[in-house]
Amino acid sequence: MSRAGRSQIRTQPLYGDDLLASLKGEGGGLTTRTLLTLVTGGLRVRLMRSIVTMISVVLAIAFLAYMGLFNHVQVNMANAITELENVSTLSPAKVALAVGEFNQGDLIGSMSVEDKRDLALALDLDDISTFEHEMAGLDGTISQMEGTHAIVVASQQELEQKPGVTEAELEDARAKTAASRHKIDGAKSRRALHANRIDLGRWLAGNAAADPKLADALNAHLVRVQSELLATWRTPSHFTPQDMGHAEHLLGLAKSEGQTSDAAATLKTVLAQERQKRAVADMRLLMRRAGVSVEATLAGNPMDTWLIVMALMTCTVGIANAMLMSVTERFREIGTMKCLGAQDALVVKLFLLESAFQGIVGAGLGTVVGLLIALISAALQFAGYGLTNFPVQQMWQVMGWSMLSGVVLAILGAVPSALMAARMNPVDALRIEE
Amino acid sequence: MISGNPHRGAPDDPTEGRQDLREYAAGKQVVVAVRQVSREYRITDEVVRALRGVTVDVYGGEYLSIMGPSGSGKSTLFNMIGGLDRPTTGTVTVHGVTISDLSRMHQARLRNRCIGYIFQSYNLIPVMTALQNVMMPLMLGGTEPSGAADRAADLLKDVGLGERTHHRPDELSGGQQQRVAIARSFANDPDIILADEPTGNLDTKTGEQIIEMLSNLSKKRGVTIISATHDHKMLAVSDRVISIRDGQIEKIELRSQLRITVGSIDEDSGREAGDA
Repeated sequence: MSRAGRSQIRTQPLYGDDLLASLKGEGGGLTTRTLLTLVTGGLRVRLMRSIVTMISVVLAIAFLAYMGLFNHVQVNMANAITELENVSTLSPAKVALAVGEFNQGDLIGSMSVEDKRDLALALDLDDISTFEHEMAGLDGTISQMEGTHAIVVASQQELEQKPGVTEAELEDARAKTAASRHKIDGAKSRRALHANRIDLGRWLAGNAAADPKLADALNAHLVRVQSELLATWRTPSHFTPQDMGHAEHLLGLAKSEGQTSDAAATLKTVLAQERQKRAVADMRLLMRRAGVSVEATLAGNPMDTWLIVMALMTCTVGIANAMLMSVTERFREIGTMKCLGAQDALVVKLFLLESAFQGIVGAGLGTVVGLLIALISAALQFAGYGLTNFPVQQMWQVMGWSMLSGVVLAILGAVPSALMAARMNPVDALRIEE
Repeated sequence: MISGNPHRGAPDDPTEGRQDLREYAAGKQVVVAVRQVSREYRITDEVVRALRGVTVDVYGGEYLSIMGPSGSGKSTLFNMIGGLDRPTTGTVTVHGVTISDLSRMHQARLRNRCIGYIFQSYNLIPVMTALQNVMMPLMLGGTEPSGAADRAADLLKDVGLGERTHHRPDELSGGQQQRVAIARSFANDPDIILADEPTGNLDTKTGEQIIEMLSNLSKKRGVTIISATHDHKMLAVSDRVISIRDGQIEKIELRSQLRITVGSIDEDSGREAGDA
């Protein structure tokens, strides 16, 4: 007890009106740091409940952010669909003219070997596994056919030796022999084409030495592919995506070689429009599968708004409940602080800060979780279209609003319990312990 | 029985017309004046009258104990004096200022500056260190943080806890926690310390240390100590003991009269109180 010194310098206590005047003067308060110690300390002591409260905020805000972002994805897709559907298609006459013009150009003749090689690679001509497989089959078929042919020839010769054979019978046997020969020739020519194709593929893969004959084979192949592709432009829906890729490659090449550029440009437009039509069809299909109507999305969906409001209200009630428990558990602490001279406003501030802290952390996490869920579900439901139509511009806006509403709701939810704590008389708050 | 009928004398006379009390009060300043205070609680439909017109004065620098069985109104009177509760009728005046005239904000300031509180269960703020707990009333009163920290460290040294300033309450023993609470109650140099059964949760030896500390501080600094207690060791160091029963003052005893009365209530405790 070395307080004797201090007790002597103790000022005379104020009395009556002097004390009253002093009480009505400027008051003190807590520094931000002390407030934060109380708030974060309180959260740490009640860690489990703080986390549960934060999770409820995370869920609600993730839902809000997800709904906002995903709705934008759907709106963007619906807009893209309407936009693409409104593009006017080229007239069939113009397309037919361009096809005719393009067919006449000698695309391959002017190309160097390297260019040809590149083109062949772009057309996937190095993929020869199916041809090799068919080759084996063809060899078997040809030897079988030759066996049959030998029998046919033998029976024809036998017939020729036979006396009393009519001219009609002989004619019939000769026709049979010719047909058999023809069949063998057909199979052999197919075999030769396959062999060519395989040689070409091996050459492209670098497994065989360069041979001018292979360049000729390529030329022949290209002419065939080209005319095939150009012919199918009249009915583009028969294109496989691979066909379209090949056709676009050819057109690009034609343009760079300075050939029939007008026709090439027209055909390119046809291809681009064909791609768009397919994209629209794909997007419509994906949206129908996801149960989303393009028209309803453009008109705005009141069901979503209702869901969001429900989620946010549930979240607010959850926060209110958690804060009420926090206040109830801390009656003694509140009473003690009031005894020590804490103002009602300080108690309010303390609980609002505690809740706002949970709101900030919860809403921050929730916004990120919502973004991730929106990205994942856009990619899963709408494939690449979901990501290309992802609202990059509106993203920050949506996330900002989600964050803000999380914090505001956390504070609003804490208002009733904070007011209850502030309005308590110190004696009532302290009585709870007994 | 020395005090007799509580209704004797004028209802506004805190000395009950008793010569010994008049002599005791002579020349002393009244720090708390309780006049005709009654307090009613409404529990569902039933009205409970916790206090029925109590009139008492608390004098500057005295060590006053309030005793009485539970439900007697002892705690209610104690809370009235401390400005923690408002009377239904009557007035409580602290330092010449009537508490019920003050707004909640000014009541909080009055508690902060003029009254220090010590509780049976210490009531330290669990998330704060000993130092921060002692700093609380200082900061709430507007002392800037570095000054508050210095003063709090001094106070903790005075109660013998200079080494444990950065421990949290759950790292301290009961006696140590109560010493932190004592340091906290003295933080703003109040004139009145309210101690609600300060030894109630402590063992005998620690309780004795706390009592000694309180009475020394009271003597050295001229602080008025008002305690609600059952502890006869505390009664023994009191200048005056007020007994409450059924919401009324049963008797007021001065220290000189104490031994006999206590003895008459309880033989064992009386001997103990006499020994102290």
